[in-house]
Amino acid sequence: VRVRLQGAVARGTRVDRDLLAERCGARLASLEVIDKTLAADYAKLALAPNVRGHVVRDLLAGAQAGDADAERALSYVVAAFEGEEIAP
Amino acid sequence: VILTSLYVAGFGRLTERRFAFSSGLNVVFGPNESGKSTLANAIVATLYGAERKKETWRPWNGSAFATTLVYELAGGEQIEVQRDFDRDAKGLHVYDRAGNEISGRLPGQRLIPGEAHLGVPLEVFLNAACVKQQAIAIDEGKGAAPIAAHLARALDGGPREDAALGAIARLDEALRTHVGSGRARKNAPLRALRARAELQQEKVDAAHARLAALDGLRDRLQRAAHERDRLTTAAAEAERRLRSLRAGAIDKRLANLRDFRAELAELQADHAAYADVAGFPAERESEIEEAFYAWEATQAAVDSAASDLDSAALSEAERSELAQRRRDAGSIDDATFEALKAANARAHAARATASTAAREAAAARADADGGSRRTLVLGGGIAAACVAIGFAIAHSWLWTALAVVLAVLGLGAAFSQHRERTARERSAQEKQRCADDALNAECAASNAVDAVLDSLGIDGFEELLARRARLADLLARKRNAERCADRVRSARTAAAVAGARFDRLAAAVSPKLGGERAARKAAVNAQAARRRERDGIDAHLHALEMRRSTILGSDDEYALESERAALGRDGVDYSEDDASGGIRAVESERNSIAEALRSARDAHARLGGELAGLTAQVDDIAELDEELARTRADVARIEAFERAVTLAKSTLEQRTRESHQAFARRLEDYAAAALGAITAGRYGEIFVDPASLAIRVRVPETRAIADLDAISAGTRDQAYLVVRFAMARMFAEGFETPPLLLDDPFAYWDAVRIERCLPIIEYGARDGQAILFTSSQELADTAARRGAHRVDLPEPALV
Repeated sequence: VRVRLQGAVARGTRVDRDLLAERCGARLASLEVIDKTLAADYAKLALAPNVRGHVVRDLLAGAQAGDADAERALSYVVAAFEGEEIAP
Repeated sequence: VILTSLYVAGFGRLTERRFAFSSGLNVVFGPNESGKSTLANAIVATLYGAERKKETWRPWNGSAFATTLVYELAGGEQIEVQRDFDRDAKGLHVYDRAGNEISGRLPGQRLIPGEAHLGVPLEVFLNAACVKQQAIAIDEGKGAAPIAAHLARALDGGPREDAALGAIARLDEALRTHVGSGRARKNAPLRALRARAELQQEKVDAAHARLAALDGLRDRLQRAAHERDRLTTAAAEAERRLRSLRAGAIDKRLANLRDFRAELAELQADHAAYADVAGFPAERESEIEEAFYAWEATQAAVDSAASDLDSAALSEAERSELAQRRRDAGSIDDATFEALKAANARAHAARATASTAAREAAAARADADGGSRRTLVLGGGIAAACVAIGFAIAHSWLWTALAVVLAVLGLGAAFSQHRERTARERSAQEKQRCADDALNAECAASNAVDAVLDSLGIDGFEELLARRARLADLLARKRNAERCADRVRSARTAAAVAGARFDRLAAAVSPKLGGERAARKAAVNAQAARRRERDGIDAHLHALEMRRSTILGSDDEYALESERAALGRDGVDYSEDDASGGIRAVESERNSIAEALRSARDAHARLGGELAGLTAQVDDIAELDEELARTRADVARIEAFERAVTLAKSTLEQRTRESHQAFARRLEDYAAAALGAITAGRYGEIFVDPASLAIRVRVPETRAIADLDAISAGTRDQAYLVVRFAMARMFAEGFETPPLLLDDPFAYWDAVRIERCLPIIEYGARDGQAILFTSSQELADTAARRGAHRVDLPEPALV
């Protein structure tokens, strides 16, 4: 079973794919959790005329161009501004 | 944006109130708990929504939770925002000056009038355009750090005071925690993961190498399994052939048993026909034959002796001649005969001697008669003497000497011959006398012999010898005949004894027999032959018994028939194709195959055990691969994390540096204009460190650049206000200039500080709108006097 998680999550929420797979996949032969959630509304943050807005705008452009590192960097930079845990 | 009016149907403590605002500075005065902050929040909530704080601002008296805000844009467009907070998005309506709803024309996925018209989100608006209560209330002796924090939060964004610098620090911390640095000794998760991956890879490689090493053993095991299967098939085939041969052997043995019975019956019938010689002692046949042949030999000896006797007996004439010879030759005894014999010998010897002497005397006389040669020699000598004389006369001395020599030689030879002749004549005379003596002796001896023989009428000694020889021969023949007669008698006695022995033996074995001995012997031989034939039948019968034992062995016939029936039920049939080599060869082959099969099974089991043991020593490759894959996935995840965090950090650092540097330049320009106008040119330079956002000013007296902490509190208040206005204006570049909401920031200021800072506020509101909420009567009055639009809030009702 392949599960794709999409949409923006509440502030402070961290999606742990391994934990989800462990908790939900006990009765499945295989469970793959694909995390496509957004820690924030990046498009909205990108409009802000501040450093975070500029950074989010830059990284969002990279993510939309297919740069997976930029996509992950988006969530990390937003979490860093929010003071949340930054973990792989 | 210039706010013109706000109608509050119900928002917190405010109910059914309408407020009007103007451009420039507005001052809202009211004592504590009169609703100043509520009014400020009503403005913000109408523009951006109440969101999570909606329940905080729900009207206290239960009236409609709604507001209406009217404001003008820089282009003169009037916007009216009506918001019913209980209906959330559905309760929001935006109208233009003509009363047309323009909600659908506003940009953005969600309808937020503040973002649509001010161009900044709520967070930026709050950080840049809203100053909370006492936010600028910096006491004497208190540092300027809060100013830098407010500045950072406003410039960088985010809810935390450390803003971008804190975000960078947290990204660094995340890298140190989850990735680790290349130089870290203890906390280096990525390096540890890579090392673990390398170690696991080595384990996987080693396990693969060990498994590859076991391939040879697997091949041997497979070959052993093939050999075992082949031998199992061969053993089954050998067993089938053996059972087939067993069936054939049983059939053959049963057939042999039937043949045996038939032959036994026939032999028993033959045996009965020889019942007459059952008691005949056939072993004595040789004894009887020996007695018979002994008798026959003695009889032959009798015949031979009789024949010899007949041939050896003397005839009548011979017996008469024997008598005559006994009378003449036999009358001379041996001594006489020897004397006669000696006399005869002497006569012969004398005769021979006389003959020899006569021949020698004749020869000697012949030699003495030879005188011519002697005369010739003598004549020659004389002639030579004469010649010598002649040469001497002639004085031929040489020839004279030669002739003398010849003369001497001739004369000497003639003398020598004369002497030899004389000697021979004497020898011839002597030999003649000896011959005469011998002749006389011969005559005497012959006369003596003749005297004896003549009396017996025998002519000569040779006649005597012949008669004596004849007498001896006749006597020998007479003695031989006598010996033959003795032999005949002895042989006849032996023949009688042998015949009696034969008769006795023959009568003992067969008393009824009679007739000649040869006939009786033939009868005995015939009986013995029959007895031997009977014994042969007995032996054959015995052999038959042995053959039966050979056929059956340790089995019995019933067991054989039962076994054959069982084989037949199992579908086993004898086939000639299986007969090659025989049952023993097949049994041997089966046994050897069975032995080989046991060995093959043992080898297979041993190899299987060995392989299982070695395989058990090899780590689970699938598990190792899974561990390696997990570790590599972890490495990839951490590497992706490192790249993403590094990218985020570098982007953030770059943007922070650019933004802070840009802000520093803008602040310097704005501060120069604002402070120059306010302080009459005394302070005109404010600097911001782009890295720390620390604010510094140039002191006019010393022209030195000093930290904000090092200058007076009044100047610090002014500097902060300048920074905030500069920040609001900078964020508004390219957008609508937002109204500056100052929620009683100078709550405890005295008149001096109000006097000092109010011009800065007025300066900031010069090109836009600032709404100053204050509980200070003095500040409200002062502002009003200086031209600010004043709004008074009533005293709060006492509960």
